[in-house]
Amino acid sequence: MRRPRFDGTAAVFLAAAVALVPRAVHAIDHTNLDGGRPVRLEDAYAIAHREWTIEAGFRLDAADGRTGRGVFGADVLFGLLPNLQIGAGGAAVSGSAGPAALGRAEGGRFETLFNLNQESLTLPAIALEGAFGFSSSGGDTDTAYEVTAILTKSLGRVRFHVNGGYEVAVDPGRGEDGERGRLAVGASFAPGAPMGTRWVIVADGFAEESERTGGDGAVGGEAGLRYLWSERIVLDAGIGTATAGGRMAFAAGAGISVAF
Amino acid sequence: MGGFVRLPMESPMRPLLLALAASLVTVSTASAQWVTRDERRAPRGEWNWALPRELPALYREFNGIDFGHAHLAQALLGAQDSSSVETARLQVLEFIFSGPEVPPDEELVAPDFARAVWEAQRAFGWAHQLHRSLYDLFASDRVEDKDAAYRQILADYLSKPEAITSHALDHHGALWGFPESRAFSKRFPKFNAQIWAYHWLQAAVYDVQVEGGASLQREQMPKVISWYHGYLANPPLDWQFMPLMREAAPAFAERFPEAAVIFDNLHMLHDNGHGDGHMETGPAAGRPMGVRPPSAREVLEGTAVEPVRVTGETPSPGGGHEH
Repeated sequence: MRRPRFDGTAAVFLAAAVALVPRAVHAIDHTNLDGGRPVRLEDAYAIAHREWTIEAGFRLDAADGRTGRGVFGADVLFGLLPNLQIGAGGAAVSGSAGPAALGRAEGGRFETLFNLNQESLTLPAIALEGAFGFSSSGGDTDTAYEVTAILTKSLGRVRFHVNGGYEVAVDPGRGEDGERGRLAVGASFAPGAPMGTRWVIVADGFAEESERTGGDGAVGGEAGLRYLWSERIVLDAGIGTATAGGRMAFAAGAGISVAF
Repeated sequence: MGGFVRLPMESPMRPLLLALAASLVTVSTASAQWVTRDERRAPRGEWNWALPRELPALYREFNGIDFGHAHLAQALLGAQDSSSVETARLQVLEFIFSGPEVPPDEELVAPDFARAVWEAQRAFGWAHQLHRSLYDLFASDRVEDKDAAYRQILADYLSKPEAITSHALDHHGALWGFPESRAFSKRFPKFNAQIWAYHWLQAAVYDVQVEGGASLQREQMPKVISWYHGYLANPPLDWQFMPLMREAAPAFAERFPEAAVIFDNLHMLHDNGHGDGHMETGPAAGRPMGVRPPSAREVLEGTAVEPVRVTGETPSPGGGHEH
């Protein structure tokens, strides 16, 4: 959640890439989605009470055909109470991308997700997520706070998800705040259901404002697959693209989640 | 620094985010269908995951049974014509005989059931989790004091809000006498007998498990599973009442009576829950129970009575759908 120092490339890098940074996943209940596994879309459910999940993933980014980098991340989640999970994680970056492109991919993050209800025939499932992120470079520690509302509603065996979030970022080095809204809408489904539910396809479209007044916002799309390797392990892979200010970025990543 | 709620007026996303917030408030006030999800992990212990590690073949059978329960629930919420229900029954057999390596996602198998009656789904889910925890416990050679672990698992289960009672109930009398009680078994006897076969396996394996360690279980379990497959191929239509724990697993029922009662109550809930709206009336007490299922010991010793054979197309082990 580090506040980026924007140029056009950085904006699309962030938009395309941040979703694929390894984050939370619900391994045992494998229809659950969470940001980064493999796309940014989350569903409204928390992991089970007393369950732990560890996950790790790797992502490759490219923008405008001239910058590239690898991102490795790992996270831990815990079901603190029924319907309430907490998590912590971090990511490290390697590669040739310039400083402006590093953005929020590196640093740490703490988060909590509270699921308010189970989806019914008419009501969607609802959750609220709060997150705090930080990163350090050149003696500065940038921080960001985000709150996200999540809705999940099904039509038959297809689940639709809406994620709407707002982020406030603080950069003491520059002495100014940045704020932006984010919206992601998508769906997930198991193409083999009801007989086969190990494979789940998920796709979304998203839009993000720039933190800077007058800056370029980003729009894009992602698609990914999740595969239940065993009752405790989920594998995932995804691709994403985004555009901002006429520039394009691409990302591809894969990850693993283990519940215990 | 700005606050969470300080939305810049010029933000083009502001209307969308406000609409999303308004929808949250709106649905939050519609409490008629409000139910929390409350998923809870099974109790931790050295026995965790012992069943798939020590007895993978049995583990796959239980994965199939999970699908069988969910798929029937979904099927009965749709068209209830004989053809549709029989198709669902054959799909269950196809799934079981495919040897599913992981449990199905029951919310994807039965999405309407999960959304319509989540409390029931949760009650079934927690009771099935109790089954799985006990199978793990008795499959584990790492746990010496099985009775202490059993008490821990049982206490955890009974602490759940939708736990099924461990008090013995009048199954064959009052609970089999509701107007809807025998509607499913009368209308779809083959599918009903197939479900009773699931419940027979779920019970019988306990008596194999309490006899010895994982090695002995691996040696004896194939015979019990094979007997169960015989029931799937030829549903035991001569059974007139669900298999009881004390019949299929008398040793387990005597040593662990609370769990045995819970599972009988669970299976009774399954049977009554399959009522399809075609209700009957009249007292149930005194009804014949028909041929009774054998115990695991009888199967292992070769003294169990073969079920009456029925005709019809039924998948067999080895056939199957890849999933």
